Amino acid sequence: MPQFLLVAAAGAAAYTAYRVFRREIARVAGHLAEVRVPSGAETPTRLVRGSDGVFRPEP
Amino acid sequence: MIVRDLAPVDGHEAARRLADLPGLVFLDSAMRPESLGIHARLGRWSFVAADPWTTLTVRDGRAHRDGVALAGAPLDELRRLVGCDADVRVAPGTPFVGGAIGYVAYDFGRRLEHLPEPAEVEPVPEMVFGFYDTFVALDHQEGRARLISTGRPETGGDARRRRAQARAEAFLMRLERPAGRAAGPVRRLDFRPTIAREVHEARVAAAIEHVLAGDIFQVNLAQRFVAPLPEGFDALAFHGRLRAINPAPFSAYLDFGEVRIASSSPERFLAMRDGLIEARPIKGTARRAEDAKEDALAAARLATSEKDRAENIMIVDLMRNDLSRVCTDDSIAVPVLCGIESYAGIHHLVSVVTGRAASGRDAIDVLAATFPGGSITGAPKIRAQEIITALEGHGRGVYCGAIGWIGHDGAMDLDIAIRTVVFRAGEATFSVGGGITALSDPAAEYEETLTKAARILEAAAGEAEAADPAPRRREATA
Repeated sequence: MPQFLLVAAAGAAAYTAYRVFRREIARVAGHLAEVRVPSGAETPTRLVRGSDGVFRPEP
Repeated sequence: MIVRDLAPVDGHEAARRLADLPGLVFLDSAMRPESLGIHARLGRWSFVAADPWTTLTVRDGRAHRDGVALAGAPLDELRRLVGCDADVRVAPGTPFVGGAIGYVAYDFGRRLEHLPEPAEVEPVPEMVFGFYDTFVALDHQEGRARLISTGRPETGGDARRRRAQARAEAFLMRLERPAGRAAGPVRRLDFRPTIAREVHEARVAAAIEHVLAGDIFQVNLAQRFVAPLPEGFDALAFHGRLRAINPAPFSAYLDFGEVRIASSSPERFLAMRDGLIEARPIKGTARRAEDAKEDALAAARLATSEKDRAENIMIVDLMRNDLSRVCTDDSIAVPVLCGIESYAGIHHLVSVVTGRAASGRDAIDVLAATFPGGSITGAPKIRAQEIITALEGHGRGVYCGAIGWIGHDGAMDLDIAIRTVVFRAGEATFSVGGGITALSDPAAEYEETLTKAARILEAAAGEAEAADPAPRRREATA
């Protein structure tokens, strides 16, 4: 009987850990899906050379 | 094999004299002798070749030889054509002894792993290799130029000798004729970014979220620039201007008809000779300063930057892992970790990873095990590639692929196709990117891409603007 209780407790703990793990995966995946990345469809901007030699989009 | 000494000739001039032949390729170690420094070994040789005896092209994962579809997998067909040639044993001490010269596009990586298709697929072939039997080898260290003609693809003794002789004479005629009409001034290319600053920064922020979520350690994100090609634009002349403005040990010009490429890459992806493999991943960039003291300080700051060193070491680990798949046990070494290399306008943090190929592993196996290079994907590699596809939204084409040669003797030298302009279908495009880690700052990452783009944009400004250049960074000295 004690062995049975031990196995049952270990099983319950493993199941709970599995559920927590799955919830965490879903939470992280949901968070990443919410990260908004705008599309690149804006009008292209002319580049202007700065005094440091680097070209940057025209303000 | 025919070997003829030539009068000293500039590689770009030799390329121009062969430019009327199809399949012109110019692997250009454009480091000037006075600035070779530590680049002496990387920049010793240049090769100019044209008129390949056959061309292997890969589209949609299928190999074609001179336009005819082949049954084998692309890398099997490449291996078969590269083959092994006993005659190269009498080669005259040049690292390239004849063989394949061309490129492997970044998007060929989808043929090696299960990766998602980008929303917008790049229309360039996934791989093009011409097979060259006649070429000019330029030794910048000894100041020698030689024409080498191997007689390939003939295999019989007499037939091969006759072909080698005839091809050598045809090339000599072109190389020794008086210089033709000089190229006109390089015309301006009006490059524009395809995304706004805010978009790139938002993508960087999204990438950081992936890092913080434990999805990846690092990812390389790029932005793209596009310009319409003026009628009759001379891409070879553009390359001439680019190599002068941004000399790099792995510069290249490739003309495969539908796609032309002008590159000034500083990064070796893979070199292999007699079973010894070397990779030189670059991760970490700092803008150079005009003042020598400030310039040295910028290099020192880069060498000790926690973020840049972390980026570099992650990629060294990735390369070690990739190479361990094809190298003998315990042969992987890192002789240089986070060394500083200086180029026009930029300092880079460079590491060197070496290994010995396991028995039975050839250059194609090494390529398949390591492509695309970890420095332009991130780590872990497959997840990083998935995130690149999702965030960038389009294929990368030639950018971040590999350009170089695979010789008939089993040797190989490929670069990472960065600082590379692709001319195709009336457009010129190039991309620049950087490694994103948990410590990245989106605004600084955006600036880093612009710093990397500066020399290409200066070359694209055309020669009319060259008379009034912005303050120029010092040439490579380290």
